[in-house]
Formats: sequence, C-alpha cells, structure tokens
Amino acid sequence: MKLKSAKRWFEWHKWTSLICTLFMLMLCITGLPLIFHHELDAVLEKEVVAQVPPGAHKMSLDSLAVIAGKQYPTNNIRYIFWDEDDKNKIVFDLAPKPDAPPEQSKYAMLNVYTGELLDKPTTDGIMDVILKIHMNMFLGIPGKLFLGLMGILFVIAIVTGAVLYGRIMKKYDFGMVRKYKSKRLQWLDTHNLIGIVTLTWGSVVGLTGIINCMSDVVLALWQQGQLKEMVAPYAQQQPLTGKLSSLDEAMVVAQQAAPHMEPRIVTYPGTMFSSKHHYAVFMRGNTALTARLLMPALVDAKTGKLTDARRMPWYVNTLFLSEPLHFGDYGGMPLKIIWAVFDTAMIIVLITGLYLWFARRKASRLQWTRLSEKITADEEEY
Amino acid sequence: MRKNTNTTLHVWGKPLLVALLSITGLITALVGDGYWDAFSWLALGIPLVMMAGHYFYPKKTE
Repeated sequence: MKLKSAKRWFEWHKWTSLICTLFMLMLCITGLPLIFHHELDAVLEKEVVAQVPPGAHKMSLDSLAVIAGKQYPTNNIRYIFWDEDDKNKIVFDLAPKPDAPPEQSKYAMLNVYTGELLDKPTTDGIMDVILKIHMNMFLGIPGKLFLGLMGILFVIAIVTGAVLYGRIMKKYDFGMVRKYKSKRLQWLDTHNLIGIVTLTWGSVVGLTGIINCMSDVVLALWQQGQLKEMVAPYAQQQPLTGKLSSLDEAMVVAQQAAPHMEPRIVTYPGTMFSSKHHYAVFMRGNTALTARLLMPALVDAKTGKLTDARRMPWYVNTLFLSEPLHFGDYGGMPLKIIWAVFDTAMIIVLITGLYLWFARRKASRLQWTRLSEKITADEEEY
Repeated sequence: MRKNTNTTLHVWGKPLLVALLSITGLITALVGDGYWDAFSWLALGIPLVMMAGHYFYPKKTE
C-alpha cells in the first residue's frame, strides 16, 4: 500500500515536471537577466539625465502635455507616467486611438522642470524582447495563460517532489550528497538537496508568476466591477467631445482626494484603465508596502470635478503585491543577487531532474533487455 | 511512536527551518526598507549558505 502510494506520487512528480520543464528552463534563463533589467537598461541604452537649472520651478502638466503632443502630431496622449527613480522625468504615451494595442504606442520623455525632450524611448530593445519571451513567448494573452498553466504544473511538481523527498530521506541526513558512488546517485542527491532548499522560493515565485499571468483577467474584473460602479452615473452619457479639462486641475483634485499619496500614472478617457469620461489619476502610497498599491481618483474630464476615489479591490492588490515577489526588485542589489542565485539553483534542479529521467529510462530499458534476453535463453534451452 | 516523531524531525527539521527563514525573508523586504531589507538578505542568505556548505563540504561519514 505504502509502495503503491509512493509510486503514485512519483508518477505525478514525473509527468508534471516533464511537461513544464522546458518552459521552466526558458523562464529561469530569460528571468536571470530580467532580475537586473534596471542595471542592464542603464548599460544598454543611453542614460539620460534631467538637468534642473538652479531656481527652476516645475512646469505645468498641461504645458508639458502640449510639448509631448508636438512630438507625434498624429497621435494623442493616453497615459502619463512619473519615473519611479528620477522624479524629474515624466513619460508620455501617445497612440492613434485611446484603445489602440500597446504596440502602437509612441513615447516621449520630458524634463519636468524645463520641458526639454530627453528621449523617445522605444520598446524593441534586447531587454524588451527577453521580457516578451518570458511573459508570453510573443503569443499574446493565450501565450501568457499557457505559461500560467505551466506554472500550475510546476507548483504541483514542487509539492509532489517534497513528498518524495520525505520518503527518500527517511534513512539519510539532510544535505547528503553521495559524490563517489554513481553519477545517478550524485545527481539525485543534488536534485534533492537543491530542490528542498529552493522549495519556498520556487513556490512563491511560481505562484506569483501564475498570478501575474492573470493580469488581463484581473483588469477585466476591475473594469466590469469597481470601475463600472464608480462611473455608474455616466453609463448613459454620450462620449466626450471637444477639449478636455485641465490636467493640472485634475491633479489638484486627485491630490485632495488622496492627501498622503503621490501621483504615479494618469490615464486618459477611453483607455483600458479609465472610463470614457474620466481622467483616472492613480495615486500611490509613500511607504515600502503602500507604494506598491494604487488608488484611482476619477476626475470628470469635462468639468474637472472629482467623481470618485476608492482603494482597489483585493484581487487587484494581490496582483500588485505579487509583482515584486516575482521580480525580486524590492530589496536592493543584495536581494537581486539572492534572486539570481536561487534562479540558478532552480536551473540546476530542472537539469538534474531531466537527467534523472533519462538515466532512469536507460536503466529500465537495460533491465528489460537483460530480462528478455534471459527469457529467450531459457526458452531456447527447452 | 517515539521513533516516528524522531524520524519526522530528522527528515523535516532543517527543511522546515529553511522554509521559515525563506518566507520571513521574502516578506520582510516587502514590508519595509533599511533594516527590514538587511534582515531579509540574512534570512534568505542562510539557506543558500547551508546548501553550498552541504554540497561542497560534505560530512565525513558520507
């Protein structure tokens, strides 16, 4: 009975691992440079510095928007981002239509104090390609959901692997690596040791990865849920026409609604992240934890008055909090290095696992050949 | 019965320690900066050091 259940755990471990291993290898390998994407971006792309002249004041957002608009006359602004590290920089996203796919976006990075055009960032660099492969293998939402499915298999493989670890290690000490017996035993022990040490990290990065794969689902839930509720009075109104209200006024209104927060993103009416009638000013908190969470203040883009500001629902916050736990970018350089070591260790677990499967197959085939040879020999004796 | 608990502790003692250290380390860096981050480096670093230690410096009995 015990043997039978062990066999069952083994089969589950084998098949869930086999199916996801190649994808997991791809994710671990592309993930490695992505841990340091910030540092690599600085090396690969020209670093632009926003010089602040002495005594300069911040320009109004409206006049910055005019400058950004002139860079791409056929496009319109749809998002505004504040640079997370350098508060003197601001990035405008301009597209032909508010709901155009992200690939059609053009970007303009401006100096907040002088309005000088610092850069026209593009999203076709090597790091963007690696990120795309890691996220969806260039296969859009289906690719993303598929990788999420692989993540689920990976988590099952971790759980079944832990059960097998418990069975195997009953007679042995933690950390045993038999280096001089056989190659297979050495690789098995390596697989077990690294596997059990990386179990928690692997589970957390796996689960948060699965959650990140659900981002489009989460966005749709929010659009149909909280966003719809917040703008319910506008449901029957005609779409906005003519000039939009002032951005600077919208910022003042949003700041009043969320006094202890700072703006992170502004989204324009008609985009995926707002209604057809509102600017959505996404405010973020100012502690390590609350900076990860956003609070949208919806400002009527005609009258400039606040419609509503609410904290986001739990499923959106779960997504926001799972991002740093997946990226490892929330504890300085040492944490990134720790992330890289765990990631490399995970690659070793995957490769040793794959080797063990090959070795086992070969061993059982040899065993079968010997057995069938013996049977034939026995038969010939008669 | 007593033998059973010993086996469980023997097999799962260190893995449990590693899991607790890892999860504390993963969360503390999220909660705060400065000392919180430093604590997280330590908590996540210990399992990695344990792993390397066991791999490169195995006990003599093995």
